[in-house]
Amino acid sequence: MKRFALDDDSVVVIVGSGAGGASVARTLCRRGIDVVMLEAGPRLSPAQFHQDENAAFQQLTWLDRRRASGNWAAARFAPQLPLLTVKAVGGSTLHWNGLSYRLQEHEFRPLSHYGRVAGASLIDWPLSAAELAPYYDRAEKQMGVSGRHGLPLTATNNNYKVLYNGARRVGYRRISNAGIAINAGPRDGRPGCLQMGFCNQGCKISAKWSTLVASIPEAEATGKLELRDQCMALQLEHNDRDRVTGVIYADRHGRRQRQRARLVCVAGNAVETPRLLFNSASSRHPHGLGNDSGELGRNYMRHTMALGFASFDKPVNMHRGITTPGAVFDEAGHDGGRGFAGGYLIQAASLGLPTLAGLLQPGGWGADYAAFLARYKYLAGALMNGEEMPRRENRVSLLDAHKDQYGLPIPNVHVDEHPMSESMRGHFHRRVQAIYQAVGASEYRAGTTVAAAHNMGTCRMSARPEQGVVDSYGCSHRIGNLFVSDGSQFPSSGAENPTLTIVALAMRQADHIAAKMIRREL
Amino acid sequence: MRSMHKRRRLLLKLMLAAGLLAAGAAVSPAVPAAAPAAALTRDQLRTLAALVADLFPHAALDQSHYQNVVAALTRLLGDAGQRRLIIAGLAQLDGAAGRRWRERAPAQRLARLKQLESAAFFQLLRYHSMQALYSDPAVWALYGYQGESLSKGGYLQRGFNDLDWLPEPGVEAGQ
Ligand SMILES: Cc1cc2nc3c(=O)[nH]c(=O)nc-3n(C[C@H](O)[C@H](O)[C@H](O)COP(=O)(O)OP(=O)(O)OC[C@H]3O[C@@H](n4cnc5c(N)ncnc54)[C@H](O)[C@@H]3O)c2cc1C
Ligand code: SF4
Repeated sequence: MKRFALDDDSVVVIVGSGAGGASVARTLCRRGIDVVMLEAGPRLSPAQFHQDENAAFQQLTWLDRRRASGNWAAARFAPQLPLLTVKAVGGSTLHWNGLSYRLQEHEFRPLSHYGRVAGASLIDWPLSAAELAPYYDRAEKQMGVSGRHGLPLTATNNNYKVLYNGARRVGYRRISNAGIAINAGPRDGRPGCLQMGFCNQGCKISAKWSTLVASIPEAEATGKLELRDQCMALQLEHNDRDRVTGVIYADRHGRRQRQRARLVCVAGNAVETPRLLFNSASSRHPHGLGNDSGELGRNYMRHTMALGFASFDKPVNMHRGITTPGAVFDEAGHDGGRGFAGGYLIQAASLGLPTLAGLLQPGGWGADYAAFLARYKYLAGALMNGEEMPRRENRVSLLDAHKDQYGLPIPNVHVDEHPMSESMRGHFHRRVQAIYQAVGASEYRAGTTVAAAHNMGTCRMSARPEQGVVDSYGCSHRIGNLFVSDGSQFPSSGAENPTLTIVALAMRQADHIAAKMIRREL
Repeated sequence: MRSMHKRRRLLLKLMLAAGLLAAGAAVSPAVPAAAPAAALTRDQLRTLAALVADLFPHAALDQSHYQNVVAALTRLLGDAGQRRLIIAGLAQLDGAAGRRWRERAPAQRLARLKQLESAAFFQLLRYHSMQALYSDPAVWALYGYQGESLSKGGYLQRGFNDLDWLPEPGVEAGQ
């Protein structure tokens, strides 16, 4: 494997090996650029993954201390574990379900399209759908997204069948199982899906795309990547000309190291990325590195989520097969008449019994609750993924009095949901209940997602520097060789799951970096 | 509603599960032997067992299924803070006056639980009971969750698409 010296200041250093970091790395390496990647978690082999929800949770989840505050479910039910992200090579692409949808054209212009929304800090993206389109194409081909570019569709399972038929009966027409980064048949050195039903637990056979099994080996094959796992970036260093010069990190033995760098890309997911920039504050950057606007850590968004489960007289066995096998897109657009800005997707989604018990009704107990769980074999499930309004006060900040194992202040994630989130959930539950009743459901239950799986906005891109942290390429408004390469860049969440957009933005960023390097501007 | 007789049987099962009814111990079904010093008193244990039964009542489950639950709860006692919380909480269930909680009528028991459901001890016991019960493969088997699937080749040839009471989905554009 390639090795670079700690004092080699010609390398690009990338923090994080998830969707964002590994996608930048892959493109840079293929353009001939040397990359050192620091990843806090270990490099696992897919054979080590567990087909057991509890064991997989222990194995993969980022369990370093965090706190939550505000009115969101995590602050109430999981105040020490407000996010569901992964600490391992591959990042949260080990957990992810592979749903890969493009943002809609108008979702790049939420402020213009929805108008000013009281209590929200909306801005338009400094980037259009047309500008990103070629990168969406590249990302879909690279990730092997089903039903796109001539790739076959994955087979549909029982849970999808229920949602599909119910949705048809209530008049929905845009229902599809296309757009999933799971192999229908062998492709790209990885096998076709065996419908095992453990997509969230890593996929032991690698039918599901993850950076662990795809982008990282592809980048390593160029001979340009050195991946250092179990290496936690603690601080970025800079000089008095506002250039980043290196990264201080704790290696796998807990020793502090300094890797010099020509350029740094940060992709630690939307809590760790701003946290690292806060921890890199200096006398020149007293409020965090590159935080002249004061927007660092702010405008934190999840998607507005909800779960709906219905019980039928005949078996469904929702756990068999792809965890999220397809979705309804009829509510994805913006329609001011519904009482909320933006739209949502209705995604067929299954949970195993241990997880369902926790999310059906967080804090739940009693005869009624137990009786519904006992219907497991007869349940179908759906997940809402909807646009969430950004708010300035929803933010990642540091709790200086509480330190993690590296001696760094732990992050607090504050969310006071915009009232539109609850309106959207109400709309979703009414629609999904109607869908399931149309195919004979005898009972419907609203479930709650607790920890956030999609994280965005904390270093948002903006046309005007005072409104965000980075430009449309993810480059810091202040520091020319500092890039943010993950979902932290998003100015708005859109209704679609974020990862395809993270990957497309990362590829665009890498092209931009490579072009500037060739022109010797970086 | 479960009869008193069934309820007493369930309590007994839970005591058994906690290992408190050692073989040969001369105890009546309703009065288990004294708990080991480090664990809960007999009385506390009976309250705990009654609590678990009220939290997640499943007529289909028997002693073996509840064994894990009680064992998981007794493991919490190893932590001094949790131990204090649990012991104080069980006393709090009874409250100041009147009949002890576990001897009250079902509706009264539930009303009391409802009052206390946001208490830390309650949430601790509820959470760990839930985790233990619904992570138990024996409980899965009863309710149709099939667990690990790789060793059987996933569900590709085993019914991922066997639902026959609705038509096959069509292929549509979606996004
Ligand atoms: C259960 C679940 C299901 C999901 N399903 C979907 C889906 O179907 N579709 C979709 O689009 N998205 C989905 N997502 C979201 C998706 O996983 C994320 O959007 C995506 O992985 C985010 O990419 P990222 O690069 O920002 O962060 P991550 O993929 O989380 O990677 C960040 C990496 O950085 C590392 N790191 C963090 N800080 C440091 C540091 N200081 N030093 C070194 N390393 C560090 C972490 O260990 C981690 O490996 C899902 C998420 C979850 C949890
Ligand atoms: S359902 Fe398919 S993608 Fe999901 S874990 Fe199984 S084989 Fe992997």
